[in-house]
Amino acid sequence: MANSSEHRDLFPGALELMILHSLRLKPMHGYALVKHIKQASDNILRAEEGSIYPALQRMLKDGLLESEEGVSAKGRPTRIYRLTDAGRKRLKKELSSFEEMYDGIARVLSVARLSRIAMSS
Amino acid sequence: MSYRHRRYDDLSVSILEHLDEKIEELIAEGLSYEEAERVTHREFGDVAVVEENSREIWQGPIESVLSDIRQALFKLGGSARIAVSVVLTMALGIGACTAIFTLVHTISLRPLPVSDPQSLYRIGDTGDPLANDRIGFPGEDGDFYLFSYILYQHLRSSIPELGQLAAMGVGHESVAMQHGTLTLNEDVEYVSGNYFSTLGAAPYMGRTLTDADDIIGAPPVAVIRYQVWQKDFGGDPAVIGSTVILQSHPVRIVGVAAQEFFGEQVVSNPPAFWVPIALQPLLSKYWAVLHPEENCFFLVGRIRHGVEIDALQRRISAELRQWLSTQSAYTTEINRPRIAKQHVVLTPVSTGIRGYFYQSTRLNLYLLLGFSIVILLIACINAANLLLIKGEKQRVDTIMRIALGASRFRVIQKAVAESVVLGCIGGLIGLVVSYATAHIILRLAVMDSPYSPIQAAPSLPVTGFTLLVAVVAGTFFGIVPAWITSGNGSLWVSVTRKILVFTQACLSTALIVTAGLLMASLWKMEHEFFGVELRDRYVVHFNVSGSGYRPDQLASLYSALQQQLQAVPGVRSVGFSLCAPLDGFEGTTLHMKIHFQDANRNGGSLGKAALNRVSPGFFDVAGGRILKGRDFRESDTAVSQPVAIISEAFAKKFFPDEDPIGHRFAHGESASYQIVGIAADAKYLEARGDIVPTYFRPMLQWQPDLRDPVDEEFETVSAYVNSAVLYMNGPSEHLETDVREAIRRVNPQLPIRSIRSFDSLVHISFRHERTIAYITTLFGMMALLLTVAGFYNVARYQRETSEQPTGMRTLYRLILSGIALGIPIAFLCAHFIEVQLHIVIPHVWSGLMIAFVLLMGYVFAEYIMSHRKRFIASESPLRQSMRSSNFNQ
Repeated sequence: MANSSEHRDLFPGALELMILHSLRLKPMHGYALVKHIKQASDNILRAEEGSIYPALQRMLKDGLLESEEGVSAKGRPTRIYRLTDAGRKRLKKELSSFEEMYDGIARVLSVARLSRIAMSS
Repeated sequence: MSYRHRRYDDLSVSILEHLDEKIEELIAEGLSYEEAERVTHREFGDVAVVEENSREIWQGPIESVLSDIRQALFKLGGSARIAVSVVLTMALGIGACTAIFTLVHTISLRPLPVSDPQSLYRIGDTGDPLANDRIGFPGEDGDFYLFSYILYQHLRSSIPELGQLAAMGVGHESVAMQHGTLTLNEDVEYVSGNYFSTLGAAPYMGRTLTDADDIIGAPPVAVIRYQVWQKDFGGDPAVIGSTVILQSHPVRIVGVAAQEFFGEQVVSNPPAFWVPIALQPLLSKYWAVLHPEENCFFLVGRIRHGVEIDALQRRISAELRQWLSTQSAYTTEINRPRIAKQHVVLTPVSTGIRGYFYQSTRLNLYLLLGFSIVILLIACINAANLLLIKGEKQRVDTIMRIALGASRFRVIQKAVAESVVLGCIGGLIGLVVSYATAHIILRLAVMDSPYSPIQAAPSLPVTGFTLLVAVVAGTFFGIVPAWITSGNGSLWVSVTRKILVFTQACLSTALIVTAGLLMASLWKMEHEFFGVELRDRYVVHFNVSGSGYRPDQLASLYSALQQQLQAVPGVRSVGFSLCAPLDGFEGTTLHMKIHFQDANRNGGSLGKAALNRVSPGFFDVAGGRILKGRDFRESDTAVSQPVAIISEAFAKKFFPDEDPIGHRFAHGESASYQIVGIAADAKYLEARGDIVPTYFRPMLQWQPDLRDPVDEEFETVSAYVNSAVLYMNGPSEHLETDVREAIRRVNPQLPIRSIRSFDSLVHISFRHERTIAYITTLFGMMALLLTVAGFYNVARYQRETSEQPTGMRTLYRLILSGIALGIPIAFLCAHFIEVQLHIVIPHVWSGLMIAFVLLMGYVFAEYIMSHRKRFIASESPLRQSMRSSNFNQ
């Protein structure tokens, strides 16, 4: 309850985008993916680690990913996830729309900042 | 499926690896195994939930619902307090509703247990058969719904489109039955010979009646009801072909009706025997039912498939008018113009004829149904409130799921599945609540006989109904909180909670205040003065007319009875009357058309009054009073001057401005009676009923030679006085056995129907009002319990989450304004009931009192709650340390 506001700001699809982006470089298993996202995002993803699995399943079902049997860094059996062509396409699309949205937000924020500067001057 | 299962297995492998790898890493960083495990699980989240959420993605809609239900059952343990509260809440709500529905279903929705009930139609629609004159046109507006036997036979032979047409008496008649050593009073119903074949009711054993049985002079036969056969004859198969004595005439039992068969209408006490109408002149003194103008039969026909109802209705109406125009009774100057308006209405009777019993219980049932729906509503609100709290607590989980891409629909679906599961468990427990409640209702309404077709146990359709209610209610109380807590505005949560709290306060106040008003009204009605003293008075009912006495033997019979009853220990005095005070339940009442020799009286000299015949000294015994003139004496006999005592109401009606003593009046062709006294008004029908203008005649003043057979019949009928009133010195433990013994000494064959105190007669008279008042109070208590529990939960949650006390303040303000609105609603509701049930509610005082009590209750609750809050706050370590630091300063 206490830190709910931080979670609330995670927009739908954010996790998916991060997964797609991470797997773009190389196929990974679940734990490696979590660690990668945590490190890369400078620990922005404070959500429970388990939450990545439902997302992975949904993406598998949508054909964005495929998985194969493999072994982890410690030599234990696990599933390795890799991007499919559809996944790559989706990533491209999501990235461009995310950038558009990001630009939009940035513009709004900079306008707000400008007007604040204007008011204070 | 196997593909999907492999996915699930892969998933578990991945998760397991994830956890192991992380634990190993943390241990490498220097944590102990236990610590590493704890941290890993905390950061990973609930493994079961993650797995469930992941699997869900591969599931189809049905499978996902099943998994939701599975999960809901699994989760019940998780938030046990809320789950238990919701289940109990719903058990009360659904139980109350189901109880009433059980009765509504039995009384008005259950198909008759006969073959193809859908093709059964009644000729006639509405009408309370007991409220009208049986002579002449039954309905004011030309609606013909009751028929004489002769008219029945005419219609039966002249309308071939009616496949079969059966006639049955509108009421049952109580007769004396003897079988071996058994002497009892049983109800018989007179039916036409084709009654069973028309209804399509096969016998359990033996045969049913036939047209050959329904001919005057045919050997007397009867069909016995299954339950009576079990109860009184021990289910002995030898009963077929055996002879019972009904009203001192031998009648052969030819069949046992099917176990589930109770007749053509649902009543709490179906007849014990069905006998042919042709037996009526033999068994009943009221043989006038065979007169052409005496309309006292319902007609039910089985209509062939394909026959158009409207056309048939017109055809029967035309035939009826044609027949009426040939009958002298209907072609008098006043009646002839009304013939053109006469018509019949055909009504389907697949669920039974809606006779007097239905008419008298329907309103009460629908009222209670309304109240039970309010209870269900309060229960739903309560459950919604609880789930809102739960939803708030699980908000993090919900937001997470939505952030992960689960649709809002899916989140709501999950929550609703959970509430439906809770609702269904509540429904199952509700069935138990319903059985108990329905049982209480039947008990209060004096209908709790094990032999009655109306039972409290929920039937299969009722169980289906309960399940439906549970699912609908579960959806209702689940969907709102789920919708709100899955959105992202906590504003809506608080607004919704406020609306729920307000509605709940308002509804439960309305219910409990209504209950209070009804109780006040019941108390007032029961403690009215009925014109007689209730204390130490008892009525004994026996059946003289069924025991074969001739009119000239009556004087010695009553004298013997008087002597024996007077000798019963504790008896102060004994009196006899045709109709005992407050005894509409079993007493005989005769309404007579009387006329005065003074032609100017009462406009045209005709008027109606009730006739009662009493023994000398009866008014003293019953605790009534003679206001003026004299009581009857032993010297008022068949050979002395015919005399009468009139009631106050009679005097007011016919002698508004003069002293009635000494005046004369008569009924029919009888000799005229001289008025010798005026008795104070008393309720001789039901305590519940009105005061009726009444005249009393001496029990043994008997006029033998009346010319008109109808007059003669009434004279005879009224001479068979069937009740004695006992005035006791005080309570007597063995009264019943003593009285039975005393009567047995006079004639062991004289059946005793009942022995009741005046108090219990009053009690019986108000059974419907009491049922309504008590059950409304029960529902009111349930509502109060639910509401208080609901408020407690909300308040507790408010305390847990909110730092400022304004939340609590708002809550109490809402409750108080809910109460404020609930009280006027209750008064409106009570007014509606008052009009519908013809009762009087002492509004002002009881209302103010209830309002005051409720207000005090809530003020007290608020006081306690605020103190409790302070108390709890003072216990918290933080506060304690703050306080002590303040103190130290």
